[in-house]
Amino acid sequence: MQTKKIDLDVISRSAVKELLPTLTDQLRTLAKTSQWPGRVINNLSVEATEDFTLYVDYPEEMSTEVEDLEYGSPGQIPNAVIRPFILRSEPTIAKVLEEKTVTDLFTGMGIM
Amino acid sequence: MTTTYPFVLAEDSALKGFLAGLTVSDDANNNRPIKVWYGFPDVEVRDQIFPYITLDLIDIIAGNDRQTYGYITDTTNLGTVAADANFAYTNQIPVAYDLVYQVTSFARHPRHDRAIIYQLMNKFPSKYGRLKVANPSGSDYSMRSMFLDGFVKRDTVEGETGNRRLLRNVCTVRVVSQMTPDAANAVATRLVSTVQINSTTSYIPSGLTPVPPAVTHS
Repeated sequence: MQTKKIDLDVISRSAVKELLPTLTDQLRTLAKTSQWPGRVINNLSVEATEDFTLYVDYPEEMSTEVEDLEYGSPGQIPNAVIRPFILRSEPTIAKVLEEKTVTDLFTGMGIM
Repeated sequence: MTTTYPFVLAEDSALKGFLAGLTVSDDANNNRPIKVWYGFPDVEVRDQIFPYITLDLIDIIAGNDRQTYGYITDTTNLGTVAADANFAYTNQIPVAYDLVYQVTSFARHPRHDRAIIYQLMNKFPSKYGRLKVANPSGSDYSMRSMFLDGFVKRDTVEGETGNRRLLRNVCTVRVVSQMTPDAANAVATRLVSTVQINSTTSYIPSGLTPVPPAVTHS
């Protein structure tokens, strides 16, 4: 009987890679809804570290502006986007990761 | 008289009450009160007296992870009336929500700032926080779980604060909540029950002329 080797690490990386644009779209949509400035929205993205930890990324030079929007500043109430996004992103993460990993796993096993 | 509120307003009020009465001390005043405001204090309306705390509701999220459906039957109508063994009340299970608040403290004095951090960490102890929220009739209360989801230090020392240091602490606090069917009915748009087609109204406001009936096609 012939066995087929499946690299789960490759499958996981592929799934996370597919997940990032979806999450970035969701983050930017939420920022747009909250009327964040367009140039800030265009520089927001969701990235992943080597060990698959997801994080919201933006240019260093925009950090004060982004954090002032998120947490408020003297005289300005908070207009939070990143925290609501993190709290709401779990269903998307679960859905995309499940579908992609299962599909890739079955494809790798020659089932699909 | 105790004022009680429904969903969201009840939690707002409870959280404000929960933080009321905090004080800090310094050389000039041993018992300096920390005022608590909903949102940032408008300088035109109120004096900005440091230190103070602001509360902002930053999100309302459905608590789908703990949602169940069905009906609750009891003899106290969810704790709103005295129990009567001969009488049973049936209520729909409420819809679960998480209310996410930003609790921000503002201080000029580092000693005040540290004292506030200490008190906030005691008020919001990680995953073990509890908030006493009165029910809409004020006859009972529930203890809600509260979670400290994040803490950020956002001190500024120059520029926007007029070259005066402003010491800020931002706590993200999640309060477990629920909306009852009664609260939902109170705010929901009334559903259309009947639609009358081609009916002619007899009510014509003064000064207006009725439009002639539309031409019908053969």
